[in-house]
Amino acid sequence: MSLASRVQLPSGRARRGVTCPYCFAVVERQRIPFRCRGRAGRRQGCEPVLDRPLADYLGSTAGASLPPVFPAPGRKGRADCPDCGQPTGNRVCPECHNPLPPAYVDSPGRIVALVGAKNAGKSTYIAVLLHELMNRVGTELDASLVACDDRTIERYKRDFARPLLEQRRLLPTTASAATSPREPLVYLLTRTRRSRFAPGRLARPRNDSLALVLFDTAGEDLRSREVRDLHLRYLEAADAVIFLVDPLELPGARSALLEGAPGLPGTPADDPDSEPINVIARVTEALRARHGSRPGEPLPVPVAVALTKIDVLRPALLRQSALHRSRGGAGVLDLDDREAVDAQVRALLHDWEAGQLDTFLGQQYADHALFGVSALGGIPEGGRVGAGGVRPYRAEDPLLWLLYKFGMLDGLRPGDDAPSQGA
Amino acid sequence: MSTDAEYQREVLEPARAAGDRPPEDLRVRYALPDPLTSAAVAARVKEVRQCWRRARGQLKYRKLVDRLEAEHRELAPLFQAAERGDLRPLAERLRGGEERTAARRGQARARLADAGGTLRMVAPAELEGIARTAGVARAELESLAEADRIEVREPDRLPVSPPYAAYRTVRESLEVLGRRHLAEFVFGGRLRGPMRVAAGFAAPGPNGEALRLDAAAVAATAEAWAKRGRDTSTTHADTVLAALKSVLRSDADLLAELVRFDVVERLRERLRQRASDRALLRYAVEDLGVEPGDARRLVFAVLREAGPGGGPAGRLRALLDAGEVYAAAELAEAAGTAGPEDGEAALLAAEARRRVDTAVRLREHAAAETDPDRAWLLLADALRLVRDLPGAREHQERLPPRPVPEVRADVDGTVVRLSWRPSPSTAGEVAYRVVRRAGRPPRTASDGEPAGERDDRPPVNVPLFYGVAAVRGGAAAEPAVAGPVLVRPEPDEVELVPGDGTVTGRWRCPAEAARVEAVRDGRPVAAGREGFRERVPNGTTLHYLVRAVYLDGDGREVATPGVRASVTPSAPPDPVYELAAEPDPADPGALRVRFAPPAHGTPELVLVDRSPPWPRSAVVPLEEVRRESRRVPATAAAGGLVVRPGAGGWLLAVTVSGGTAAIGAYHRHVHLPPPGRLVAERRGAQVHVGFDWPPDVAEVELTYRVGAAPSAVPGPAGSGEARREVVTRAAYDTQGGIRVPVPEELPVEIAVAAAGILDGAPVTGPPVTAEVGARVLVHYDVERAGPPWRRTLTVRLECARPLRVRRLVLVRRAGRVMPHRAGDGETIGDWAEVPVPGEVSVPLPKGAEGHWLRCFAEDDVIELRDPPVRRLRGAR
Repeated sequence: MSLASRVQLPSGRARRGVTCPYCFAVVERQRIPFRCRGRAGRRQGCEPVLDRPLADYLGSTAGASLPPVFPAPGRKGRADCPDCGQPTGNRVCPECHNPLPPAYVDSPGRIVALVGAKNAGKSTYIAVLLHELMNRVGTELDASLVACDDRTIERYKRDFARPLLEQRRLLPTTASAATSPREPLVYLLTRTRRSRFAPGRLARPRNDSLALVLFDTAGEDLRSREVRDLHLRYLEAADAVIFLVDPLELPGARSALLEGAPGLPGTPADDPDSEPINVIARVTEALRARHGSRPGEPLPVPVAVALTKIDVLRPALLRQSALHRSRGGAGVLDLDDREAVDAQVRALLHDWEAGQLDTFLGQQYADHALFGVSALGGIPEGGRVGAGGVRPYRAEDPLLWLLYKFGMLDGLRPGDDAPSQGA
Repeated sequence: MSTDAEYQREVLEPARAAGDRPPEDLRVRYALPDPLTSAAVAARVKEVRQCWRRARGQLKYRKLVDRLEAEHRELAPLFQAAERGDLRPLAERLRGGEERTAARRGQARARLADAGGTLRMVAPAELEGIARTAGVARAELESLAEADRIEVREPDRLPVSPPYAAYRTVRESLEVLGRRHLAEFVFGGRLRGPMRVAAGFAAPGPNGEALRLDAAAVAATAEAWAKRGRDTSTTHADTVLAALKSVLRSDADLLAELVRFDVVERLRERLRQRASDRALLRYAVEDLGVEPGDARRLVFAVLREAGPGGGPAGRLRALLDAGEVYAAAELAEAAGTAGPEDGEAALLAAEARRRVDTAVRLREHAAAETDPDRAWLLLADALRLVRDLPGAREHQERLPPRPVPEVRADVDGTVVRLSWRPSPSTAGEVAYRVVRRAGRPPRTASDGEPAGERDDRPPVNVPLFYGVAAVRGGAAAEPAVAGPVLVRPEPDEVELVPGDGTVTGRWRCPAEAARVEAVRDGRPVAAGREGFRERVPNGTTLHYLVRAVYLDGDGREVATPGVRASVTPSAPPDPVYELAAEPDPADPGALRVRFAPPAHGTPELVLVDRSPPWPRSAVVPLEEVRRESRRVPATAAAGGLVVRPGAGGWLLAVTVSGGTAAIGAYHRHVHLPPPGRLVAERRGAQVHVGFDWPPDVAEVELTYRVGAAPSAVPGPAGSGEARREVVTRAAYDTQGGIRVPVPEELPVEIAVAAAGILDGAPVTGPPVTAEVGARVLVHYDVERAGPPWRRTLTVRLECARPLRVRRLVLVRRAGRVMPHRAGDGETIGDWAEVPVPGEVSVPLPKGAEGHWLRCFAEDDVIELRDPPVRRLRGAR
């Protein structure tokens, strides 16, 4: 199958209902309850009450006192509160009572899971990817990225942006979910596009939304089957998976890379669980259980496998390679560039005796693509970001490919006039 | 509160008078300021406690001060809190104090009302007793008594013994005759109204005339009785008349006294029969016909004498209690006829006599004693026994203490300080009196002007003698004398001002001095009374001695030790008129400042964070410059100084000489440190630039010149044009560095410098630079031609400029994986020195269906650029 071809997404679930991006419960669209807007200023409304399901989800009653939740048919996304009669458009998950943004309820909920072994750089990647989507790449794509809840805003600032981007400190290793409870970061990515089939004044802009649910899983949480189950619902609900692989964890690559970059960390943990192929195998197992597909049948979930920290690759290794060039195309996916990077990374994997990773993905997934990313753009020094600060490089590539797969981004081959429309 | 004396007068004395009861109001007790502030309260409390400690030395205050100290221990937390700044507990307590005072006043008032009773009269001693026990000042209680219409008066001294010895028979006769009292016997029906008896006799008679109690009245009565027939009643009348006449014979005034005694005796009798106050008053007014005011006075007096210990015994006891033992003894002597029933009076009289005897013996011993201290103590003992012992106190007052053994007087500038050893006398309270006498020693304690321990204004240039006399009571010992001392002040406010080749001296000459002389290095300087001015060489430190010269008693000149001062005259500093500052090309961050060296003074550079506050060329005190600016360390360099300001501001040249600085030219310096660790990496058609952002800088200027790098890489060098771009910190952070579009075939020279605004114009700091070389890109494509059984592959090469590829290899690899290097597959073509643009062809050997084709160049300079992947992958 060609890399650039569109894969039919599992849209059945989307038609059937909405997946809560917090608890991953699947809810029928008509059954999504509402939350009263409550009293504000002179406006009459219900008093806040303790929301037990939300408090259970948060693990604390702090911040769980809110106006009451009530079920309603919810035509046109609005309903009147039975107690105070005020109309409301705030919708919540019936299970965990977390807010469901209207755009998320209306548009197909795409949950992107981020997976990687320990030290693969997931937290750093999340921090930089969100920063890029909010700034440079967001501008390029004419897309906005907004957090769906206050907790996401606070966590992003506290745990990601402030230490890494402002203070230039490397993020600490994420604590295991077994010891500290974790919530996903839920963002709504909205793109404005003009239809190419109605040019000129008739070209009316159209907004497409994508819920980006990023779950910063601790590396070791995926290494043992028991702890991984905590994240099973997350993985099961995923519409796409970004799998991060640290090239230094690949035995064949390590020796080759260390020659060129003496400042890299020492030997990896001699732990078979941390090998990327083993982690991928377990995730695959979880996805396969949920999709109920037969052993030989490829899974319909698109998987982006990204080699992180490609800034450590020696220039000689990248000679004649697309990896040392900036991504081509602006506001579109350059399909030639995409294929060149994919072929280059595949060649590197085989070169580093990690070809079976590619082979396994080919066998298990209907659609997978290979990427090389660098979140920091340079080698860190002494627990801090290296010279020049955070200078990400090709960090957005996996997400652009997924947007293309979800039909939110056009693909283009330089030299061809007609772009390839999203699925 | 200014002095101990004032505190003692205003606080301790009233408290002592109120029975050593500390004043309840803490404002009074601690003389607290108003309004309360924590600092003032702490200071005042400390001051007052010191005053207590000093006052405790006096016996009379000891008990009071002990009480004050004991209560202070309980109050200490309030003052500690106040000292910490929390005045609330103290204020609370002060309010509480007022309430307690009010409550106590109420109690005292009630006691006073009880004591006054129906008569509404109290004795001063009773009032004082109430005041003492209730803790209220006597004056306050007096005003309360006045408000309550309670009269405070001493009870009238009523006669204890009758003026007429056989009064008892007179009384019996009056009763037989049916007369209420003696006055009625005398005046009979002529008595028309209430009579006054308390102070002399007065009563209204018929037709408004006043009745006179005199010999005529008695005679008239006798005459009236004489006219009557003799019977038993005339005998009784005779008895009474005989008494009256007998009294008249000895003293006419005693007649009124007898009448009063008669009334008083009747009241006493009723009192003995347990009549109440009210009943007594009614008896006096209604039955005896005494005027109400007098009746109150008499009843009051009778009640007081008949109170506990009343009568002669009571009088004696009162006198003994008051310490008037001598008076008691006298009284006992006078009333020597006290009846046998008055055993208590006899006991008290004996006591009084015994004490007087002892005291008199002591007084006599004292008179014979030669040692005044011992005599004083004997008299003190005598007075303790008998306070009113005649002559004792006067004698004691005349006993002086022993004189002060030694006194010293030290002149301290214009002040004389006195110090002395105390008098060896320990008896009584010994005080000291200091006198000053010019010319000769003082002979007595009052021979001279009074002075203190410190004489602040002694006469100048006069021999002075000081006498210190020990004083006890009214007697002063012979003064101990110190002196003569001479007070000769030095010249005041001596000041030497250095000038350019001159020294000016200034001072204030003491009025009494004859002149002032100045000496430099042992040689006198021509000086006037108020100063001098002389020419001296610059740059040398000169030492001066300035002293006052006085004339002594013989007219000879005497010089004081003098005041020393040094000065270094120097030429005034010349300002730096112009300066030029430019970054040091060899050292980014350093500034090379050039200026013409000033003729006088040492130039230095200071940094001011605002426009210099002094006009150019002004000469100002160096301290002012130091206060307003920061000195910038500098190293000398040709034509000026090299400095590292480290911050932005005005870099000002000042010339320093002595204590002055000349303000010179300045340079407005914008601190623009260079960015750190510049990284420039080629990423295809972009160069990704990163650097460590310089601190406190908001913008940088990026300058890049495409194709300009004079590098070894062949290319169109030097053809580029510099482009400038200002990048803000925010843009840098959000964009993740700076991306500069640079064609891959061209080199680029990049410079980044911190940017700022100076006087409205943009300025940049020292730049950091980097170069990124060009790549020689050779694009290739692989074209398949010919029928499947005889396929040929043509490799077409293109480049921006003609060149030759040293070696070109075409590799085929079967399977899904792209060949990564030349050794990754089967080499199906191998060419050397391939011209570009151009093409080479090779037949495709038979092999696998799915395969990859890829070219590799073995050339250090050029880089091959693959065609799209789909062109490289395929079937035959």
